[in-house]
Amino acid sequence: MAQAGPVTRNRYERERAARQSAERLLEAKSRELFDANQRLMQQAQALELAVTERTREAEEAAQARAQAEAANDAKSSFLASMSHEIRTPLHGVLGMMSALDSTALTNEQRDLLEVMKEAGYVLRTVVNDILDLSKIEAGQLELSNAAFYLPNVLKSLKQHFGLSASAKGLTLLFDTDASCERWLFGDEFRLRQVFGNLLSNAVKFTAHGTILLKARVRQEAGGVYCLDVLVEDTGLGLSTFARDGLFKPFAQADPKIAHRFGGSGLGLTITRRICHLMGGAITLDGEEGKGTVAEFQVRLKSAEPPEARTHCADLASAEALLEARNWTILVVDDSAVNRKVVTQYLKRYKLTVLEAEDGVNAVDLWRRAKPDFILMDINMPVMGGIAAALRIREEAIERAEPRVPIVALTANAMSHQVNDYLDAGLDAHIAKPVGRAELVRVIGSFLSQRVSRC
Amino acid sequence: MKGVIFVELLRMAEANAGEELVDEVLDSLTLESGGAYSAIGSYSCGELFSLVGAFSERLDAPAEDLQKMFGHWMFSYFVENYGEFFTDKKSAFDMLASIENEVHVEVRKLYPDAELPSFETLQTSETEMSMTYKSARPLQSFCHGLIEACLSHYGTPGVISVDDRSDGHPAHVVFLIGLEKA
Repeated sequence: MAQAGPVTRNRYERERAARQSAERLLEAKSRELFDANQRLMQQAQALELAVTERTREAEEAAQARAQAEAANDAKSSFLASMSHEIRTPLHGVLGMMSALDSTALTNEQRDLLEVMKEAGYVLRTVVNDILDLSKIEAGQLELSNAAFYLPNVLKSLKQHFGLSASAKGLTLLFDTDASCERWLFGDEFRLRQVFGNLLSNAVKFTAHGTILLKARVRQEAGGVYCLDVLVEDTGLGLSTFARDGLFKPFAQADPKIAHRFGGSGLGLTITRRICHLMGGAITLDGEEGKGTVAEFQVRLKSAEPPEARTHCADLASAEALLEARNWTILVVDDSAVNRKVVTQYLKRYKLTVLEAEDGVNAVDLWRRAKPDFILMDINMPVMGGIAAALRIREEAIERAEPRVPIVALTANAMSHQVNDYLDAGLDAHIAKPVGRAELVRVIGSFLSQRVSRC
Repeated sequence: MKGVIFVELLRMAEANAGEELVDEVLDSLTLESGGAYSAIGSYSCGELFSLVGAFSERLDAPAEDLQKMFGHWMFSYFVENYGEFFTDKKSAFDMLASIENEVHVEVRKLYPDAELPSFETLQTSETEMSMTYKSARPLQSFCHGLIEACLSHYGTPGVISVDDRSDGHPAHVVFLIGLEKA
């Protein structure tokens, strides 16, 4: 390696210039770095702000939603309890009107009573709709399952709506075929509700022309039967405005409709929910002024025709059974009005009707009088209906006594509650308010079993 | 103390007294840096005062005068290298008033740890301004030189009176600047 000599002036200047250049470069880079850091920090702050803002918005939205849900729950439970509170006295009012109907009345009184009854039934429908809606909103609308004969359903619908249609000068046509002639397994009451809603809307909103109901049943995989129904009318049809709000609760096609036609605006909401619960769907179509076409499908299982009780399906046979013997019927209810309704219903038959206002009295009367049939309320002071039924069943087994039919009669029963009743040894359930015909049919069907065993 | 001060001080000394004298001074002193300075480094403030003291002795000139002269030198350096600071300043007062809030902000970008003096300005009339200098280092003469150079740069001569309130350390000096009326 060569010995380093003295540094020349040029070399010194070059080195110095290089150093200054490096310093300037570094300074520029430092400034860039600082600026980049500043931007990063600003971005981080902006992000932080955005996240905070979004979190706050999300929290506010969640809070608002929780409040809205709480308000909606409160509304539902208020409606449910109010409806329940209204239904119980309404039951009494309708029952008494029905009892009044079977007394000697002048023509004028009978006319007045008809108006009262009509108004009462409308009120009962509205209250029931509200109760159904409350159940839907609480996710508690449940379906019961029992075998029913579809032609019976269609026949009674045609009878019922045929009357109201002809009263308005409308033609009601039913187009069914052999596919409909079968026993199905499902919730007959709710299915009737769907049919009834569409037919009553068709009658209500059609001024002249024809209402056509077309029904077909087709088999699908897995033993499932799909009931396809179309209800077509020549009425008002649907405006664009109407279509948007059709399935919303309390929404009627047009605010003016409520004034002109009445109704709670709940029917289609409930109908659609029932269709969904039955594995189907519902659609409404039609232009304003050109009639409405409603189509729905529900999926049900096929059922075997039941052998027993069929001879009691009609009221006349049931009444004949009630007349056949001096049966003892025990009516258990803490409400004197409700007991009165039932005793009024049964007054025309030669029966011994006993009354108990709670479970303890019911058990006591059962021990002493050995009734042939017990109609049992569920919610009662001292001892409820389920406890009383359990006691009666236990004692009957100990004493080897025959099993007495016990039927629950209560307002607002959910399907799972009905299952509890059946587990407790109750034989069936009737929902309040019950009509005379239904009550008589149920009592008749159970008494027929006693006859056949005797 | 930032390296650029040392680099420019030695450059000024070289320009005025020659490289030999500068080398002699650097050889005569015991400096932590060894007398090798980079514009982007940081060095002990004591070295600056040692250098100024040594130059003052060799040249038989008061240290304050050298500081003032260095103030002029540095101002020229700033004009030459950081011209962007001057473009939007219409007058000497504008420039002096911007040191605290603009120039120092830029300095901190490069040297976040720089111990900067404070320059508080108060313009009392169109031609009068007071500038209060506070620093941990007694460099008021250097400041004085900077202010003189600033007035001269803008072509607005004036009178600068110095009210030294330092009472030793730290430096606390109020410069009263009166411009000659045009």
